[in-house]
Amino acid sequence: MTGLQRANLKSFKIFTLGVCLLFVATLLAPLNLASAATGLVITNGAGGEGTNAWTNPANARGAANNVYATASPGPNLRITGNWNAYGFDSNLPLHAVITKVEVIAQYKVSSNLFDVRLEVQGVSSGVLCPTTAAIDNTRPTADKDVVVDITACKSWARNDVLNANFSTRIAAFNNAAVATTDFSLDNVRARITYTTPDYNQAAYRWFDNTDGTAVGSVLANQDAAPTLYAPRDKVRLRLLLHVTTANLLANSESFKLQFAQKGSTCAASSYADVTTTSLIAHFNNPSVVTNSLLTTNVADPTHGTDVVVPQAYNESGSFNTLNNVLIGQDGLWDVALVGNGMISNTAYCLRVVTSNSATLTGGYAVYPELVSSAAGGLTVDIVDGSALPVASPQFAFASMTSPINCSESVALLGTSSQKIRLKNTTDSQSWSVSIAATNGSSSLWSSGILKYDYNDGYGFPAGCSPGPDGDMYGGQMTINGLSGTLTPRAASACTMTGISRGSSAAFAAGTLNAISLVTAGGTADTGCFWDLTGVEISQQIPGGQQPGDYTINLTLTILAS
Amino acid sequence: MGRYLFFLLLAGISILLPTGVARAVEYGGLGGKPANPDPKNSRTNSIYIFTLASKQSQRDGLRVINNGNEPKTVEIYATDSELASGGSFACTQKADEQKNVGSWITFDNSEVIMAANSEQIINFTVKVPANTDVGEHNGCVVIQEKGKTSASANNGVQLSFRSAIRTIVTVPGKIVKDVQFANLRVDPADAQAKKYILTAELQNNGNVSLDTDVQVSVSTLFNKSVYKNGGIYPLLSQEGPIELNFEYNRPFWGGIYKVTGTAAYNSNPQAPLGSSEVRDTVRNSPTKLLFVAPQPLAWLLYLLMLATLGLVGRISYNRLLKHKRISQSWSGYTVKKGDTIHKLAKRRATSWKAVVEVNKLKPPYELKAGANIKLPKLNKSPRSK
Repeated sequence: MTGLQRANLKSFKIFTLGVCLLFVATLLAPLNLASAATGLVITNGAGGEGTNAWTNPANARGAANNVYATASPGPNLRITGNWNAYGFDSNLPLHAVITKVEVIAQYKVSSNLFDVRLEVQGVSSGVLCPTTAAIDNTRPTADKDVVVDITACKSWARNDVLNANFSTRIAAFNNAAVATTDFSLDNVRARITYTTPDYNQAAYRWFDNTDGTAVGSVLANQDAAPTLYAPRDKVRLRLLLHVTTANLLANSESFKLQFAQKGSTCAASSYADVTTTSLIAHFNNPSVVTNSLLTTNVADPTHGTDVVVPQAYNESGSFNTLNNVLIGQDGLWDVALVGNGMISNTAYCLRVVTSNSATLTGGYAVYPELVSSAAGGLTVDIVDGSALPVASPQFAFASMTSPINCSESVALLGTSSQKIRLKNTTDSQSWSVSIAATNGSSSLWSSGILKYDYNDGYGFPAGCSPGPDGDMYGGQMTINGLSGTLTPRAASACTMTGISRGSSAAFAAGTLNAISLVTAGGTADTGCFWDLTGVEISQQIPGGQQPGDYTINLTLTILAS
Repeated sequence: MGRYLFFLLLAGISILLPTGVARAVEYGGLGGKPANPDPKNSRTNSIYIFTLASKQSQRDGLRVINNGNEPKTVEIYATDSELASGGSFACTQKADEQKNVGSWITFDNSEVIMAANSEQIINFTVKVPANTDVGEHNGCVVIQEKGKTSASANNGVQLSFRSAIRTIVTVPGKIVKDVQFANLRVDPADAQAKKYILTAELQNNGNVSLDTDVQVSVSTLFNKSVYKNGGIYPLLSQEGPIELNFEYNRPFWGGIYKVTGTAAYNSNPQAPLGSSEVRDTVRNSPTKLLFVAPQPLAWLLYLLMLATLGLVGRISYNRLLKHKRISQSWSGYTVKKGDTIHKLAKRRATSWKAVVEVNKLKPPYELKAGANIKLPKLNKSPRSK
């Protein structure tokens, strides 16, 4: 075989080996994918000692440094020491789910001639774990790590490995009857392998606020943005976090809400924490305490067929995990919010982050969105049964024949299809509504040259004769503010509290030019409307009044007072 | 014949008098608020409060808001105030001559075109004339859509709408604050008395308006509150009473109730409107008693209860009578060996069931010798005489 042939053969072997390796790797690849995730690992050295018979036990703290705690057990004797303060309190996450606990002792012995052993155990809340120590009898004369897996001895929780509850017990045991061997322990460490749950913001729904752990009426479909009614509307956001990777245990994680004015997308927006003073702010319902267990609602958001685990109602700071949420389930949280200066008619996004402002590791399938209201206003409008403005509203007085005697014509101000909507979306609770003749106290019903009065109470009945009010016309209009119905906005927290209605009164020249219909006091609700219908207006028409189409202009004024 | 002529004439002149159509031409989310509220006084978020001596002036602004979906031409003007019915605050009309605060305000721009869903700030100057009286003067800043207030050619009442902001100008001097709860009335709202109207009549005898916390409440004779309503109302200084009406639904069961009212305000002359939430002076209304008839269904239930009570009483009375009769005609008997209920009943000429019932015996109704039971007294037969 020539050198060239040998070289070719070598190349062929290398090639063949490479192909085989690739083949094996290809076979193993699915196994790797299917294998369990190794999880996150923390290894901390001991920071202190408990009862300890070793010499200079503090030398076994921390990392390897060739400075040793020592023990020289006599024949058939054992020297035992406890090391603790591993410091997992600060670097093991609250929501960590522990999958493995190991004790690592790095040591050596002065001689490997005799039967000496190192015995290793964990101690959890005073209980030796495992009860039979792991024994290393390799008698290393150079530093060696002894790794003891103590996972199986109990179901480990974060609390079990905290400084207050966790220590390790290391014994130097001389099983020989003849000699003394020196043990040198460089360090003792504990290694925790854990996983954390991944959360995904999975679904949301907006509701009206209530002063309780239950929510009010639905404001929009699931995963859809409502438009707020008033700048300071109070609302409730119920949202689902889907849990994967590890179970989310009660009290192990807390979250907070952030908001942003919507950019091109919610994902691309710039978020800030929701606080009690932010543009979308936490709202404090007086009768309910934050982090109370929420009361579920049939319209709560859902996520496929996932089990939904009710969690905390929140109105300040971060929100807690009250109940375990297992892998594949969803936690449902409830946050009370209030508009607090959002730009009018603008879309806003919200998202949940962990209380240390980390975005959710499972990502954001949806972002809760809402659209702020129009600027606050105190207005009076005419709307139909669907709350749409009525283009040409009409209020009909009763038709009547031209009277020989003084007669009364009656109209109703406001009907079910033409409601007078008094709307207050400002902060002010004090306002009033009155009605008056547009052209002042000298106004008259007019039909060309024919006229009669609206504010002359002279004669019997009042209004039937011209009085000394400077014109020569009789007639008087009476409006009964207490008649009819005043209906607060439905499906909201709007009530009649603080709402006073005007009494029946007649216009009187020089005495009464405006008639009060409604007065709202300082406890009246805001962010509300009230629909006024069926207010009785009657007009006394003097006897012998000439026929015609008479008109008069009246003005309804809504006044912030 | 004369009668027919009369009806013919009447028919001839039977043309509709105010044929009644009132048309609203101004609506659609037009409003405003003070542009520069004082952060120390929350009332200035919604109304204007100025303290100015004679000849003094001050600049401020009006934030005009068009929440409608169409552009609007908006008129901005100031008016004086006037009293509406019930003593509440109202604004005079633009057509009225403005003699007070309405004439003290000059806008930089009295007419603006507002785009849909837009806001604009219009600045103005308030100038108090010389020799203005000390005390509080009220007026309004008004926002109104322009150009649609004149009546159309042929029909009835035409309505306009406007939004206004109360404007208070106080000229410093001796301030008097005094509110009295003049009266408390309780009247049925209608003939059926489905509701009652509780009317608080208040009198502001001072020379400034006062934000007064007015509350009316209804309670049982045992002081259990069943209704409360009220709020903080700006009570204007004036001669006549100020009326506040609250609706109270007629209680289902009827009864006798106490109706009371309170009015609380800050009597400190130094405290300007809106500067303090302290309301240290409380005026109480006279207490009124309200007799309320039960609602029809309640009457029916009352009758049913009465009938049930009567029936129970009758049954109890019958039992009492029966027991009385038994106690008079039955006597004690010591059971002897061989006695059975049937034998004893037959011997005493009564039914065994009566014996069981009176002695409260239980199945199987066995009698033990020596037991004491009650039996009808023995009738002495003629033979035994």
